[in-house]
Amino acid sequence: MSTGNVQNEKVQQFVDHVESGEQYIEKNLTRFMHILRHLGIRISSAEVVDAVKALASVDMLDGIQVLTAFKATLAKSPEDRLILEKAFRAFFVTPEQKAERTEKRKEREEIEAQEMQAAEEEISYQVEGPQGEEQRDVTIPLTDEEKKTYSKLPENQKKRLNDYLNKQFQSNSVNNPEELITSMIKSSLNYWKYYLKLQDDGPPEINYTGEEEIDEILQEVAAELRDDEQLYYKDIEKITETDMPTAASLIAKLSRRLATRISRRYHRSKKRQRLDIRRTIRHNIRFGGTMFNLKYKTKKIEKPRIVLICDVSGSMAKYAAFVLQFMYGLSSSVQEIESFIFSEEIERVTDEFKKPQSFDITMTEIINRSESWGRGTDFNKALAVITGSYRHLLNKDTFIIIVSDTKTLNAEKSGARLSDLKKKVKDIVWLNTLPKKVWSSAPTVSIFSRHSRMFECNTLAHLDRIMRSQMLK
Amino acid sequence: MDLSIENLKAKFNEFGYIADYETVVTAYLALKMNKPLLVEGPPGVGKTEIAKVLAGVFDTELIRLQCYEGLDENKALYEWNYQKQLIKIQLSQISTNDQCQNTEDNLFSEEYLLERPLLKAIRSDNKPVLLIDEIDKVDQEFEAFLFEVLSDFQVSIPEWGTLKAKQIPVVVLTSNAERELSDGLKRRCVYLYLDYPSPDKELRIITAKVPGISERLSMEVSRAVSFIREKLELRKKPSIAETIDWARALVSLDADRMSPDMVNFTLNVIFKNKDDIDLFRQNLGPQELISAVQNGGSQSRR
Repeated sequence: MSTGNVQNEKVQQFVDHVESGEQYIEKNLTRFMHILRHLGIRISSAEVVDAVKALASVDMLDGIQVLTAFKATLAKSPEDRLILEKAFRAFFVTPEQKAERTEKRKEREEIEAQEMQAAEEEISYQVEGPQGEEQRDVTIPLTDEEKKTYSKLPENQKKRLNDYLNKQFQSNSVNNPEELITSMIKSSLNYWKYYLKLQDDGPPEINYTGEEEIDEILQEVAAELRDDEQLYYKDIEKITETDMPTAASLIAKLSRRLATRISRRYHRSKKRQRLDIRRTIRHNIRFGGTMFNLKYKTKKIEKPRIVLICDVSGSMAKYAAFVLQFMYGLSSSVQEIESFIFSEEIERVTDEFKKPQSFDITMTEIINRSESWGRGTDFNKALAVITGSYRHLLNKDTFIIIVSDTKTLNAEKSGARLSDLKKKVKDIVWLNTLPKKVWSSAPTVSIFSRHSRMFECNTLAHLDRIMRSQMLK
Repeated sequence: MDLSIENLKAKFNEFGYIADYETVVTAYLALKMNKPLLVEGPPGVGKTEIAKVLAGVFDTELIRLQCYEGLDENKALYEWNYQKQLIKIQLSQISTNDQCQNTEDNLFSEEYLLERPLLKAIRSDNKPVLLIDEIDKVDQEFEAFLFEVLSDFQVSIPEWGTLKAKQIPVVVLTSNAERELSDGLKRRCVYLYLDYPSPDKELRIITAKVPGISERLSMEVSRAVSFIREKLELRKKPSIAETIDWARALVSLDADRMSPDMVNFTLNVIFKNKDDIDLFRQNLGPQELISAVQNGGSQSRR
């Protein structure tokens, strides 16, 4: 019997087993795939079939072999492998470990319930009844999410909120202030919800399934990823000086990849070479005019020109190190690059980055020379200079990369200028350091995203994702 | 060879390829499932070597397609020998010889076909190993063409019709991950990521590849390289080949252990970039490297 037949037989046995109704392995396998998809690994049905075939070829009792079979057929990048490994360890556990995890989740839920109960009790105030009636306690009707936000507040903030409630509204019998108080507390908690969310670093948000057992695993994997790959998922503004060398090398690597990617995508691929008639005839005279040796026109690889425009105004100060590393990384891997920094004014810094010197020296030179650092932002002015004094840089081979949080004066005018600029160049990509969750509340984002392809970019994971996905079409 | 994980591991060892368990199991799965093996990883970790070893293990021919920007079907699949066809036409015009008659039928015969690696692999009688090296360097159009070939193992030559592979070749694709490969291609392959080796694995590699090296020196070299890779943010991290070269250089200098002078003399063997040499001198230096190596080197690896 051939190897193929044996393999098919094993797959058939597997299928029979499924049909027999026990379905223990299959159920587990499907659930595992479900978890992987929720963790962001793209798995097609064909890959699931491959995984099943691979499992039929290995010793199912050997954990390493099973894990390797999954990695070989389902993971398609080092990042996928890492996630898969963690999910595997979290999913395939002994019943004891599973029970322990459920126990822990229940404990967590209990604590959360207690905290919410406490929140409900704490956010209450006393109000005096009409015509000297006794004081009564009023509880503010908060949603569960609002209660959760309250329980996460730092102690001093909780105290401030309570003091405010009690001092301002206690015994206020003139107007019934309940509605006012409720809306005041709700808006304050809303602000804190937003603030706490911003503080919350972590891997890209995971879509929970609503099924307790699966969500437990998703939570565990997400938490582990957060710990292990902290730097990768951390907001760049929060990367400490100690971590900077590692982050810098990652940024350099990613910016080099960005450069390669752009140049590959935009160079003209001429598969059919063009015949150079003149050279062909001249060369073939020696063969009596028979076109024996064909001569082709030399392929000219057209690399795009990159114009990099980086915002170094006050609001971007926290990202300055990232911006500079990014500029340095791109400049050292691309020949045809023009770099600008802007705040209220725009400055050309191409020459500083072109010098063959270390990053530290380049950075010191630019910071000492430039007056743009930490000022206000006028993107309109910056674009006016680019389209005026530097218009020779703009043509259909130019690829523009803008790094900015979109916060600028004259946003409408800037939008119009950006729209004009877009007509002159190949493409405009905007790396926005503002977290995506607040884009809807920033009107400038919608203005600029109309005329550019905007990507969230405030963690190294974002930068990597921009490179990995098919976004740079 | 009776294909099993243990046999494959033993064969890899026999051919001097020190592979970890995961590499062997993944290669085994690719062979068992008749699927191409896509090996990704930084340069110099032994990706290409896997194909060479597999050719050795199965005692078969290694057919190599080296990819580059602009590679097209003509260079990868087949081409008609235009010059030879032209000569034939010229000859048929002046000759009355019967052999030169019926030119049109003969012009697209085997004689005028220039076989390129892909066609060669498809037409091979013995199951060959087809190495498609640095696949990330080709254009996307070629990548799409390639995964069609890899899924059906058949090609169409208009003058001949469709050619189906006599034996499905063992296909190994390598990539330095300079560019993200398409999902279509990845889906058709079994995926293996090879990273830099652990100090222990590198020690075994040095011992196997550098004859005459003392136990102490090979241990120091493996620890030193691992320490350098981990501690310094280099533009180009030393590959396994460079580690072996470094060990060979030290052996040529009759060293039986590392010393600051020896490290200084041989820096150019391990670093291929002036910035990296400067970085090493500024942030580490030979003396500190040796102290680190003697204190156990790098133990923690991500």
